[in-house]
Amino acid sequence: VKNLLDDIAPRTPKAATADPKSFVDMTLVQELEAAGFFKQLYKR
Amino acid sequence: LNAEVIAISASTIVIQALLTGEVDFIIAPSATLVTSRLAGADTVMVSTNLPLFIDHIVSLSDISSVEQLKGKTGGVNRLGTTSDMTLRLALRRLGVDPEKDTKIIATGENPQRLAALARNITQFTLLGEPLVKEAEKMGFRDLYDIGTLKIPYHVNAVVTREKTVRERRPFVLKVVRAFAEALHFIKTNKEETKALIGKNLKTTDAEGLERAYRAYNAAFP
Repeated sequence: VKNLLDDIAPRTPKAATADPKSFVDMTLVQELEAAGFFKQLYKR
Repeated sequence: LNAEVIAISASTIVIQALLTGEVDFIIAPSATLVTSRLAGADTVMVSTNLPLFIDHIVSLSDISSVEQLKGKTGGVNRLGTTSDMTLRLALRRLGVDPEKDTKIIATGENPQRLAALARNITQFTLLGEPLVKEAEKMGFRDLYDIGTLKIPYHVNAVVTREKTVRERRPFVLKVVRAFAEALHFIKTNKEETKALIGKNLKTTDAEGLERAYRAYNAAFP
């Protein structure tokens, strides 16, 4: 996301001040990780 | 999950479908996510399937180095789309200024891009496997594998709305799980995956499918 924001920033002023983290919700993957889902999946 | 998967090729229509509630999720590149959110939509990425560019620069056979792309015309799907951005980012990383050193024009989808190369309207373009193999068979050069640059970019992000995450979190969680399981299937079921790629791209070319599997498998998280 940061790559893209940097690329369009010269033509899109809003991109220059946008926080890349705000585009991503990591809480769902984190919730699955905390529940051991990925460990279980790759044990199969 | 009882999911229906539909193909929508234009990013503006995809975003409209998401924002009007016609679909709950879209698989879209970062560009679609970023432009929609900057325009005020509550779009958000919850997972990703392909976090790197993996296309190749394919050129006329008489071009043998990236340096020789200077002064040439490159073809992308449409200006401003992912193929356009991929090509420009890659060229910059390779020491070629896409704006000053080359001309980049829109020549359409893969078959049209190949046709533009064949007619010398363009001298290079961007293609993914197994089409790179097809292009080589047609006499073009697989000039540069952009995957080797490891440029982080979510080519296939799983995007939904913040409203959906807020109001239907267990459902969203199931979808994120499903995508993780699909990636696990791909990584552990090579032949079945190749058959699926072949079915979707309507090809039975064994070498092309092998090359496609290798390229995607290496890039998948």
